[in-house]
Amino acid sequence: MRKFFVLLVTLICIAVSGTVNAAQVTDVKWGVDKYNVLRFVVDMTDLTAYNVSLNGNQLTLTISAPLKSGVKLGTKIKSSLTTQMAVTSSATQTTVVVPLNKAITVNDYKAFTLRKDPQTKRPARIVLDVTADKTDTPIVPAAAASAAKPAAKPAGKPAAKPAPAPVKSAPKYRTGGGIKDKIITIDPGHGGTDPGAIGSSGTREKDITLQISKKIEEQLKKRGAKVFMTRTTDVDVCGPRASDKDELQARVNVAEKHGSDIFISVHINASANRRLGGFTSYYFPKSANDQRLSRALQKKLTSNFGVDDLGIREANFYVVKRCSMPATLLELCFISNPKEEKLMKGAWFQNKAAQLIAEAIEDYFK
Amino acid sequence: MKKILLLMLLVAAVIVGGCAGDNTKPDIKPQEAKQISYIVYRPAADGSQKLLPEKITMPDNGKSLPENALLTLITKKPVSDKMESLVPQGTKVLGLKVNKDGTAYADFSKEIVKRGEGSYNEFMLTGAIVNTLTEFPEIKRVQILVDGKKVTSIGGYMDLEEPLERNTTLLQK
Repeated sequence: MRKFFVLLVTLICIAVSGTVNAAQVTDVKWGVDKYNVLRFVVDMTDLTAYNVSLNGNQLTLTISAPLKSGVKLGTKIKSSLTTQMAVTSSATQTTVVVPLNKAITVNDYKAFTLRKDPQTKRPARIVLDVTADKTDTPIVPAAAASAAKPAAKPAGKPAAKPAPAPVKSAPKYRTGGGIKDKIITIDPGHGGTDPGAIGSSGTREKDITLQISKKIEEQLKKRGAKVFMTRTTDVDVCGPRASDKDELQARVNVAEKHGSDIFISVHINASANRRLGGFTSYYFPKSANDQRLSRALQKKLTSNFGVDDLGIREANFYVVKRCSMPATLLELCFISNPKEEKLMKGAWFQNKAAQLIAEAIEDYFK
Repeated sequence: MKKILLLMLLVAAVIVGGCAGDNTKPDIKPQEAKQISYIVYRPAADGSQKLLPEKITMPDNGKSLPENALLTLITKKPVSDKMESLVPQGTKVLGLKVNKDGTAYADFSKEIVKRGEGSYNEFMLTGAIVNTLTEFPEIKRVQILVDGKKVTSIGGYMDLEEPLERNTTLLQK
């Protein structure tokens, strides 16, 4: 009986800690690999949103989770780029500030996330690589990457002692090497109980997004990619009348389940202002790849249609923010604009748009 | 006869004067009050996904600048036809609270939740709200609330569960 009670209490504790405790940062590590890439690894109990910003010579990584209380972090760094980092935490976020000894550009760093890996018992991680001083050839032949506890050795000439790099695993998603075999999730916007926007002649967004998405799927498969769809018929992905959160998360889950390299959500825009028209690609800057993907799509679409280019925009859209891989939410024209509504219903537009989107994705993976 | 007319005129003058006196009273006050000015960001009417600044100058009404800016954005039409409102009809500001950590809680009535509008309206409206409020140095981020509660979204696209930060991509040329 007592044992049962203890078990019960333990279970309740686990349940409570699981629900009450939001994600926490448990460690911030750094290391320099054999190509002289400076890598920061943030260990977390769960992945959250994060942001990397460059302000002059200062690189700042902001994570939407507090630092676990009691965690002590070193500040000294041995790298050709910097000698220190500062980690601060509030109730809602942790900030890692790295003052660099030279100016770098947005192309000199990239960040990505790694999901929890139960097999290797590795926590969820946010990884930030600073590649400003990257060399083309390894500095020492033996793998001398260090990360968890880099020895006090000069970074320019890393230790010759081979050590397994604790964070050597590449990002779960791939960003180059050609489109063949890449895993791509296509999300036809809306569906089922949610028609999306409706045009003046009755066209429903959910129908057009599905038609175009199926054509994109076909085009991508032709190019050798593996394609997963969040829906292939007129249904809600989570279920009829699900909450916004559940429905949107269900779409993200499809991309996560298949370990997608990219996620594309296909939508048709609308506005009370019926004169508005044009294409937009929206991204959330989880890493530089999100913007790169949006840029590739936007460029292809706008340079091949006589439709307004509304640009690429950073947006806090749920699906592109909450998935771990690079993602873009496409808004193809405005269903509220009678001219564009008619255009989008036609096979010519749909085929061409699908082909251009596939070509853009091909460019992205080049 | 002349006397009666004179008397009548006199009475009329007193009445009119009295009334005018009462009427002018509230008018005088605002003229003496100091003027306040602030900027409200409005979506560009040409759909270019830009926010245009609208400068408002008005007599001080005792409300804070962020409160006035939010009220202007939500309840007043833009002055220029180069801008549009995008605020669903009937939307009211229920409150604005600014915490010391720089998070503002902007509470709206349920009319602000509207479906079937496409992402454009939700994106530009939330962008206008956040950029208008973060124009004030004491506000760093904005948590949008509906009837006092957090919502995932007001148009079905945005993730509003956490406070939004200023979106500078809407302000660039």
